[in-house]
Amino acid sequence: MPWTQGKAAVKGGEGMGETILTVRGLKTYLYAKDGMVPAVDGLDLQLERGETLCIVGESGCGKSTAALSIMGLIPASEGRIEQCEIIFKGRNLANLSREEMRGIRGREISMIFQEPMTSLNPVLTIGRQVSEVFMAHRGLNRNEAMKETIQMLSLVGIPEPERRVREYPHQLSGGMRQRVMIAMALSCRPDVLIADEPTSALDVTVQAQILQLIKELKDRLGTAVILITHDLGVVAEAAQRVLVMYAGRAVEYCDVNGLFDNPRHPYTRGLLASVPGHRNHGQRLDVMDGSAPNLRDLPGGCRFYPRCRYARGMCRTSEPEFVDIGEGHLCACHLI
Amino acid sequence: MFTYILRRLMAALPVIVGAIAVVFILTSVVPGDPAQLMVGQRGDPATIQKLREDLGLNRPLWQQFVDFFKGVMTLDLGRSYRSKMPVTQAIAERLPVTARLALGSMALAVVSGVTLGMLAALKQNSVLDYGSMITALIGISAPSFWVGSMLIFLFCVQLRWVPGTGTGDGSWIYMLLPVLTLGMRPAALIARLTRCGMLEVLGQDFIRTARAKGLAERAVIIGHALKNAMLPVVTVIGTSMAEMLGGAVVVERLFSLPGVGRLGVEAILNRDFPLIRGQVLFLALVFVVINLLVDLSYPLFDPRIRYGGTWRRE
Amino acid sequence: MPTQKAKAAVPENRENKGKGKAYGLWRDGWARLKENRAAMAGLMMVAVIALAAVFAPYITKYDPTEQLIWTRGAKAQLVPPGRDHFFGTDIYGRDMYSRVVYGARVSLQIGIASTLISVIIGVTLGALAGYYGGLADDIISWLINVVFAFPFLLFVLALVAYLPPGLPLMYAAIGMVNWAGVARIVRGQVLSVREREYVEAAMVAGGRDARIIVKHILPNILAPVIVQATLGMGSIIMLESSLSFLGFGIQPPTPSWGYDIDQGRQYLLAGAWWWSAFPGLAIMALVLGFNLLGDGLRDALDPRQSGGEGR
Repeated sequence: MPWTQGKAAVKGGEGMGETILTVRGLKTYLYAKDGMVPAVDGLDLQLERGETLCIVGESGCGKSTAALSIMGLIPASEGRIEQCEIIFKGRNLANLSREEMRGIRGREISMIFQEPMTSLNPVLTIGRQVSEVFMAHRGLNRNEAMKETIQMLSLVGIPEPERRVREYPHQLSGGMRQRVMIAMALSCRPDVLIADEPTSALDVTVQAQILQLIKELKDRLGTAVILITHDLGVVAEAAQRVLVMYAGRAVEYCDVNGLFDNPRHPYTRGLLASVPGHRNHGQRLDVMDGSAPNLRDLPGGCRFYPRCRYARGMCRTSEPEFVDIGEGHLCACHLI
Repeated sequence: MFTYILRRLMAALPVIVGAIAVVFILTSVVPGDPAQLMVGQRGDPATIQKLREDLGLNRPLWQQFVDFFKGVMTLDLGRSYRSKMPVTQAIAERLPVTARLALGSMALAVVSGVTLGMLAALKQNSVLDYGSMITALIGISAPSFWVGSMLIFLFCVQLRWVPGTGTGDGSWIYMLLPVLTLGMRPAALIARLTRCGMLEVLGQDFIRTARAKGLAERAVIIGHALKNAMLPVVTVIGTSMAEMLGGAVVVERLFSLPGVGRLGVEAILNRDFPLIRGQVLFLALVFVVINLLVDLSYPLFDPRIRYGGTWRRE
Repeated sequence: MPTQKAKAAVPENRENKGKGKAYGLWRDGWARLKENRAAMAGLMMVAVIALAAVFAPYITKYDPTEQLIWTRGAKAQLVPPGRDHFFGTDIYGRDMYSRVVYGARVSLQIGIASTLISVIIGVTLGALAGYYGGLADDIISWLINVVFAFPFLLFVLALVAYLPPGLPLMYAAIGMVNWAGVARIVRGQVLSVREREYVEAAMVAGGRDARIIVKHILPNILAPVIVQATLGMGSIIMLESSLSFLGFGIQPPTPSWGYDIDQGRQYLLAGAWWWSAFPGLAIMALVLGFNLLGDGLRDALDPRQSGGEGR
C-alpha cells in the first residue's frame, strides 16, 4: 500500500501527532443523466489532530464530493460510495448506521459550505438554526441552547448577538452569514471541520477575515481543518499540509513549504506557474493547456498525461502509484 | 410589517370598488329589460311599470349606481323579488351551510394534500409517488359533480354506509360526501404543489446544511423543508377558496344542501335580479377578503416579506 | 481539441434572435415534447376525442337524440352497457355511447370558440398594457384584478342568467371571463420583451407601434399564450359541463356531458350508474388530456414558467 509508506514517513519526518482521520481508497460515483461518473476514484487522505490540510484542484476534480462522502452527505438519489475506509478516531465511518453517523455529524465532524447565501434556511431565525445543534447533540432545552448560541455567536465575532439571534439570514451580510455557519459548525467543538471553499463567494476583504477567524478558532479549539480551495493564496495563508487532486485522485501530498518550494508533480507545477505572484513576477504566465479530462472517458495510464509536457511512453500505458518520495512527500508520477 | 399590511389593504380597495361597479354594470346594462324578464312575456304593462319603479329602473343610470353603492356600504342590497326578504338576510340564513362545507373541504384538502405531497416527494419515483400523483391528476381533471354522483352511488346506494343527500338531522355524516366532493380538487392541487415545492426545497443548500448539523431526518423535513415549501401552497389556498365558492353551487345542488350556492341558482332560475346581484357581489367580496387574508399571511411563512416589503415569487 | 468539437455540436440557433430564435424554439420545443411521455399521452387523448367528434356519424349506430322507447318499447329503457349499447341507454332509450361521442362536439366547440375569444381579448389588452404602460396599464391591470375577484363559475352563471339562451352567447360569456389569465401573462411577457435590445432598436429607429407589436413582440408571446390556452381549454370544458349540469348550458335534446350526468344521477338510486358514469369519464379524459398536454407544452416551450397554478 503506497499510503502506509507515506504514513510511516510522516511519523518519522515531522511527528506532528496522532492521526485523527484516515481515508483509504475512497470511490464515489455520482449519477448523471447518462450513467455513473466516478467523481472520486480511489482517494487516499490523512489528517492529524489540530492541523490544517488544504485540498487543492481544479473545479470538478472531486474535492467537494470527497468532503461530502466523508460527511456521509451524498444523498442516495445522487450518488453512491463504493467500499472504502474512513477511519475516524478508530472507527470506520463507512460501516456506521445512519443514526450513528448522524450523531457524529455536527458534533465530531462539521462542515461549512461555499455559499453562505443559500446555506442558511431563509425562513428560520439565526438563533433557531444555531441552537438546533445544541439541542440535537447536547440535549439542551431551548433556553439553554439559546444562551450557548449567543456565546457562540460572539465567539465568531458577530456584534450584538442577543439581537442577531432574532434576525433572519437575509438581514445579514455574506461575511456575517459565513460567521454564523462557522458558529454552527464549531458549537460542539468538533475534532474535524471541513470547510468547502468557505471564502470563494465573499468579497476579498471579508475573505481574509473569515480565513483568519477559522485559523484562530482552530487553534483555540484544537480542531483539525480540511480546507477545500482552488485558491493557492488561501493555501499559502492557511495550510500546514496540502493534498493536490486531479480527476478524482490525489496526485501530490506534502507540507505547505514543500508544495511551494519543491513541487514535484507536473500538474502541481502547472498550477503554481499559472498563478501570478512574486515568484514569476514580470514573466509571462505559464498557462496549462487543455482542461480536466471527462471523468467518464478517462485516458488509460496517467490521468494527466494528455496535458503533461513531460509525458513519456509509459505514462500512456500504466497508471502511476501514489508513493512516498521522501520526507512524507507523496507523489503519483512515473517521472520521479 | 405594518407598511406591508397597509399596502395590501390599499391594493384591495380599488378591486372592491371595481367589483361593485362590474356587478352593477353587469346587472344594469343588459340587452333585456329586467322588469320585463322578471314578470315574463305575458305581464301587463302596468305591473311592469310598477316593478320598474320598485326597482328604481326608471331613474337615471348614474343615480342607480350611487344608490347601489350606498346600499352596499350600508349592507342594504334591496329585497328579494320573490320572497320579499332583505337580500342580506336571505344570504345570512344560507351562509352557515356553505361556510361549513367550504371550511371543511379546505381543511380536508390542506391536511390530505400536504401529507400526500410530502410523502410523494420523500419517496420520489416510488409506487406511492406515482399512485398519489396519478390520483391527483384525476382529481384535478374529473368534474366534482360527477365524482360526487359516483360517491353517492357507491356509498349511499351500493354500500349504504352513508345516508342519502340533504342535511338530514344536521349530523356531520351528511356533510361527509359533500366535503369529500368539494375538497377533492383543491386537495389534488395542493398535493401537486407540495410535492413540487418539497422536491425543489430538498435540493437546496440549506437542507444539506441541516443534515451536516446532524439533525434527525424528521427535523430536517418538518423543521426546515416543509415551511419553505408551503409558500406556493398558501397562494393556491386563496385561489382554491374562490373556486370552491363556485364549486359549492354545484355540490349544494348535487347534495340538496340549502346553502348560498343553491340560493344563487334559485335566484337565477327565478330571475330574481336583486338577489342575483346581491349574491354575486357578496361572493366577490368574500373572495377579495380571502385573498387579502392570504396576502396578509405571507409574512408568517416568509420573513423576507415581513422586513423587505415586497414579495417576489421565486 | 475535444472542447471545440463539443462546442460545434451545440445547435447555434438558440443564440440567435428574432425569427431564427423563434424557429429554433418551436423545433426544440417539439423535440422536448416528444420526449415527454405524459404530454404525448395527453395529445393522444385529445386527438382521439377530437377525431371521434369529427367522425361521430361514422362510429355510432344510433342517433344521439333518437328515443328507442318509441320503436322498441320499455325494454329499451335503462339498458346496461352491452354489445348493442356500449354505454347502455337512458330512460328514453337513447344510446349513451352515441350521446357521449356527440357530446364531444359540444364540449370541443365551446372550448375552442371561447378560448379563441379569450385569447383575442387577452392578447389585445395584455399587449396594450405591457407595451404602453402608464394609464393604459393601470386600467387594464385593474380590470384583470377585478375579473379575478369573481369566482369563475359564478360570474359566467350570472352572465348567462342575464343573456338570452344560445350557444354563441355562451362562448362570449365564457370568453369575457376567461381573458384575464391570458392578459396577465401577455402583459408580463411584453413588459420583458420590450426591454430587449432588438425591440428597443426598432423603437429607436422609429418603427410604428403597431408594426413593432406585430412583428417583434407577438412572435415572442406566442409560446406562453399557447400554453395558457391549452390549459384553459381544460377549465373551459369543465365549466361548460358545470353549467350544463346546473341546467344553464346547452338546451336539450342536444347531447351534452354535464346535462347527461345531471339527468343520470337521478337514476342512480335505481342502479343505472352508466348514465352518469360514461359522460363523466369522457369529461375527465378530455380535461386530463388538455392538462397533460398543457403541462408538457409549458415544460417544452417555456421552461422558466413551470409551476404556475392557472385557473
